[in-house]
Amino acid sequence: MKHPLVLLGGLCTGLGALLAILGLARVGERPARLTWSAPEVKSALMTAGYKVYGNRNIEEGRHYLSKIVFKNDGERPVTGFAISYKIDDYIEWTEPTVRREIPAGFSFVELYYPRLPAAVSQLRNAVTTTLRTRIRWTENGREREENIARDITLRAVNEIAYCDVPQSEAVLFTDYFSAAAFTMTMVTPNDPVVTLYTSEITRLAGGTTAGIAGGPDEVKRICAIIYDYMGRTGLRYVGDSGVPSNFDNIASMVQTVRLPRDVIVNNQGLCIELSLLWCSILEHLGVRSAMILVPGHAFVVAYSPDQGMPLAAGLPIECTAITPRAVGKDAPVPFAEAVQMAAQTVQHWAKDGRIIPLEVQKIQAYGFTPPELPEIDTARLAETLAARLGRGASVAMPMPADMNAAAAPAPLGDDSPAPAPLEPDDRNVGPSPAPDPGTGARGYRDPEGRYTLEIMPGWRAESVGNGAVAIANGESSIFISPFSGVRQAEQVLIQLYQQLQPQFRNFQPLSQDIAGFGGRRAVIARYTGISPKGTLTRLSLAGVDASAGPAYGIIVSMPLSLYESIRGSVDQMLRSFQFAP
Amino acid sequence: MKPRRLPEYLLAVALAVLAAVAAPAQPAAKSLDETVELAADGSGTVTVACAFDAGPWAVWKANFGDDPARARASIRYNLGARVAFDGFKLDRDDLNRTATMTVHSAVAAELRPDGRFSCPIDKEFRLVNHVGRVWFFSGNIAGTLSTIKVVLPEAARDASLVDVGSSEQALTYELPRPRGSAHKYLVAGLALTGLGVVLLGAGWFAGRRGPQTA
Repeated sequence: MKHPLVLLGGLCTGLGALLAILGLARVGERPARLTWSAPEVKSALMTAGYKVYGNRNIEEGRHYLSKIVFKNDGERPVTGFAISYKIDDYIEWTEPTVRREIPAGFSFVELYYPRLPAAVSQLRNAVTTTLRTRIRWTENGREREENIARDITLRAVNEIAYCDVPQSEAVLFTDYFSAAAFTMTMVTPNDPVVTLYTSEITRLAGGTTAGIAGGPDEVKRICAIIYDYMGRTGLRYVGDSGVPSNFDNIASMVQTVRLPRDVIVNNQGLCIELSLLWCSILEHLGVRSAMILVPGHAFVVAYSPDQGMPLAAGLPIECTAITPRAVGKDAPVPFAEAVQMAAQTVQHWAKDGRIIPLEVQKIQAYGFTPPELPEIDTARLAETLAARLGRGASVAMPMPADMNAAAAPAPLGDDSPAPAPLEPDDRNVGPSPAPDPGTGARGYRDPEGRYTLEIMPGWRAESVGNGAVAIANGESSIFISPFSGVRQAEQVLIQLYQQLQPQFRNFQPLSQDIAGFGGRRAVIARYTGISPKGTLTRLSLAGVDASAGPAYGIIVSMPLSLYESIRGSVDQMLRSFQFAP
Repeated sequence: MKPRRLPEYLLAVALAVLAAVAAPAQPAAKSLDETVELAADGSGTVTVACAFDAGPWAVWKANFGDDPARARASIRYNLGARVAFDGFKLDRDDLNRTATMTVHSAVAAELRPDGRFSCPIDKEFRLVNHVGRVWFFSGNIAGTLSTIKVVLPEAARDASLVDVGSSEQALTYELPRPRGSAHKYLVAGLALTGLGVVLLGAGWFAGRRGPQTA
């Protein structure tokens, strides 16, 4: 009979061997399992600041596009983890970020900072695209792959969303402007348009040393000259809202803000747009500047290089005072008064605490740098600026190629989509066609003899009564009509806009200009939209000042697809327009 | 500057938030002491204790002290990169004008490509001393005397401070890879087998000797 210890030893050995086998076989152990949280994806990006999203060093890296928290929930390692991203139409699959091994129970964060192409800063309208995330890994010897897709919106280059704090968490004024630093991407001191504009100013100033060692007095002098130049060249404050003031709705925090070059070209701007222009000019001159945001308003502060940047040390300027009515005045506001007004504003809101200074150099140094801008015909702009000072002829505004498709034609010439009432009608031909031997054009004379113009081949003109004429070519049309009861071009334009805008879907502004039309001043606004017939259309509206005769309104519309082929003849017809002496 | 990690962001929020609202001449806080306790799975608990003078205390209380949810939201949205916290607590001691924020995060430490773990240390901080797995740093941030105490996981070994004084400054260490629950079967089985072998041997010897007869 065996000794009891042998029996016990055999039992222990057998049991131990069994347990060891179980252990080696990892029986009962949770296998490797990669899990992740719902991806945090920013739903909309501001394309003016597209460089910000590609820089993980800005503001603690908080401007990531995507954030996913991963965890290995198992008791065995996950291996061969790789993650890559793609943004449809803009960024191809990125080089994967690889982690060779993720230990059991370990968590980690993957962030994506997209290097968007400069082309996104040419977007004039928001577009929706898709962020795709591809995750590959190996768990328990098996290769796995998962793809995640999220729609994102690339905002138009002029759209600024001031707040990126969820509405439910926003309390302070600063919360509602948590993303205001993005406005600094629209300060463009090196834009050739700003350079040209600034050189016109310094020419008047006889040069300046404000940015070197001129001291506060020199800064004040150059600011006064800038202010004076803006006033003399007719730069105007427009719009009844500057920085949005409705804090109850986060959607209201999105504002269309034109770049300084657009303000220069259009010669008008909102308070924030004028402030950005001021900052651009000052920074170009080497004068440090800050844009100040207070509830419902924005203005600028200039600093001498030898000063620090506290608000009290700067020279505040009420940029909108160039338009007296904007500040409740009837007569032109002198520069000193504009400074006083801004100083009072600072004083008022500093007490309250609702004041945000955005120091241009400091914020741009963080990485909020301007986008790449399209080329512009600066030679024509120079003519325009000269004309504004009374040193040239009528104003023909050049526009960036991406905005108006070509360096702009003279008067209205440009583009436009079709308003319903002006959709083509080729049943009638206007009176008195006397062909022009050179162009094949026929002359058109208003039945009441108030104006004449030439009609290009392929176009038909019809008098529609009351001195109005409708000129059509297929789906394209021009409508010119006298406007009674108003005398200012702007008033005409507003009425036209109110009449036509509701008829279009996705009605988007492109630009505004001042130009000459038949020897009178005209204000032109250009839009795109989908006409009642469903055609993507370009529409130009213009108001012409009253003079000896009534004011006039002009509507030019054409399918966007025909724009390039037709705009030349439209331009020629409008250039030929002449009021009867 | 890399995106801040858990050990840095509480410090940052305490200072940045205060700096934004406090009068310029006033330091944000009198002192700021941070403790980072790291676990073997990369998670960690960060505690930041701030002491204030009367002025900044009133400002801080008005903006955050009375609203811990707001403080948490502020951290989450302003310092959201690489932060994933699952616990947040804010304690206040009005008599001593001190506030203590405690945050637990699953991603306190980072796994480096070389397989080591790291805990970033703001470049403004200098190593004072380390005893075992506890490391002490001090620095002066925005006029506030600040300290950081990092407690590494028990199993951490071969710890060192790398990229000293740069924005990449970090405390790195190694950890044995965690073993799964099945490992205990293997250990128990081997132990039992060993015991069995001993018993078998003992029984064999005992059997050889046999019963003694007179």
